[in-house]
Amino acid sequence: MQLIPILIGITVINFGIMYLSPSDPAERQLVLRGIMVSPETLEAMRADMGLDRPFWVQYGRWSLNLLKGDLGVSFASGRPVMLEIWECLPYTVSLALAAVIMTMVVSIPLGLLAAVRQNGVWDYLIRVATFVGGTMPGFLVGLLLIYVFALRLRWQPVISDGSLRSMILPTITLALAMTCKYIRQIRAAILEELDKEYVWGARARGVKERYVIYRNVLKNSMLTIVTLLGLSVGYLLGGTAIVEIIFTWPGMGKRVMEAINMRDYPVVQGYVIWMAIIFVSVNLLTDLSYRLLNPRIRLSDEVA
Amino acid sequence: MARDKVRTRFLVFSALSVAIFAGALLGPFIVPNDPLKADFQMVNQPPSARFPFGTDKLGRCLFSRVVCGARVTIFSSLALVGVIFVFGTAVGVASSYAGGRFDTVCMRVTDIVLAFPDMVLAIAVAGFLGGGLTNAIITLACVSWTKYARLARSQVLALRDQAFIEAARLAGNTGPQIIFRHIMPNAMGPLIVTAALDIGVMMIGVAGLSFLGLGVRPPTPEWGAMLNEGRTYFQQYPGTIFFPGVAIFISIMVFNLFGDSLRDLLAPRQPGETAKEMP
Repeated sequence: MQLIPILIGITVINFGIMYLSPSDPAERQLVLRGIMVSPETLEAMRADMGLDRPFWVQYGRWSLNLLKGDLGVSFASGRPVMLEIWECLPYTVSLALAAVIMTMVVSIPLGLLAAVRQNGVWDYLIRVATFVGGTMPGFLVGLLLIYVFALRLRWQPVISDGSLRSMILPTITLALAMTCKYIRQIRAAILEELDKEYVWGARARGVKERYVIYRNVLKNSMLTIVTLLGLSVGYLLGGTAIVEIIFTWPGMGKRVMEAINMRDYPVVQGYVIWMAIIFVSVNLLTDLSYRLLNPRIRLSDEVA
Repeated sequence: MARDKVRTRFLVFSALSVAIFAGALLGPFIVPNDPLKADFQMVNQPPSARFPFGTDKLGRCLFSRVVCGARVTIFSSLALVGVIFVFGTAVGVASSYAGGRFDTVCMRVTDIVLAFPDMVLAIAVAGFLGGGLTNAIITLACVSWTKYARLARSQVLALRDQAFIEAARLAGNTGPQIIFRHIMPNAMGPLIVTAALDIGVMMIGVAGLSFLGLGVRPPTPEWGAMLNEGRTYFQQYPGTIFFPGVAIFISIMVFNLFGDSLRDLLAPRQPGETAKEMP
């Protein structure tokens, strides 16, 4: 429930930055409508748009509109911001989801392998690889992938068109740093779990190692993964912007960069608000699933 | 035995970090060519004796640009880490020492900033403020100081009620004296480790914003901006992204390894120490 003040805080910051920014929306509006900019018309337009009111009145009006789902109108295209964002949102969400799936598919087996063969060759290789992969900035990974797979080998298009095929490289770019982090965390979690007494107990009773690992250890390590996922949403949402630019993927990140270049503030605002909503709701989901997965938290809540 | 190994590792990576700083500092004096001088007869040249890394789309010497770019990328990251370290620590210490309503307000603010994705906020702030190196630094500082405030606060809270602080107070020390003489030296370790590990993070941030066109403006050489300029031309000459890319990769790696070794040196974590679990 402490998420609500966070959401309110974000809208205040968001509106505050816009309020303080050097550009004058009234002037933009005049230019957009083709009316000559003069002190008189500016004054009239300000009064018309409510820009002469104090900050809190403006904020109140703006947030009321926000609750109604009205984010204003884009300066550049004249279309409602909500509509513009709805068009881009599915692309960003699908990219982020694909990256999460790829991360899971790769990191769970590799993390397990590294943990089970601790200090072996595989463990060593995986540790070095994850360190290198975790150090590479996303934009560098993206450029290298384009160079190798699109320009040299010609397996992939250089410019994404939103199709499934052209999604592969952006997904890898987004997933790489995350995968490396996950592998290390999962390895540590499994090692810690393997050291617990119940594992020794099960082994002593002659339960097969394979059974212990898949049925007990892996299941108990899932909590780590859920926690990690919750923490990664922020990275994913920020990371999509850079990846979308590199691969010209038609998502929200690319749209907001265009908006920034055109000083189209309502679109930037809408982007931040939407990101905040996604972020907060995913965190809520993580919390809930954590309760579901961890009987200890659930039970202690019920007792209390 | 293991301690010696940790110390050696720390010394090696400190030396490497210092070498990178020295290179970044002296770079502009030792480069063979002017990093800003364009020569349209030498566009996208492969490496040669005159241009060790070749030239970019405007015929500028890539080697000189990469070397001079180190200065902007590395020193702006360092400045950034310094600013957020001092500011965040000050807020954290003040808020935990003062307590009460001030503490609550400070912590709510850090909650909000911490809760929100860094890069999204950075893009938004940079978008509203406009590009430029100073704005990029302000932006990144705005979104990353909270970590230090949180850490400093928890450190001070852990120390505040200890016997030696009580003793210092009984000995007649004033508030500031207690903070600076007794609390701060004991609270610094984790903060310094965080700062060391943050150098690489901030480099990615500065270069990332420049890459998006929200940081350093061309023609100033900066690694992220160079990658951005190079990406339209790397089909003609891949060196335009290869060399700045390698430079950024190596420096981030060295700083990260340096931070890791510093952490091992200052806070050796015994194996099995983390295995303590809740009942």
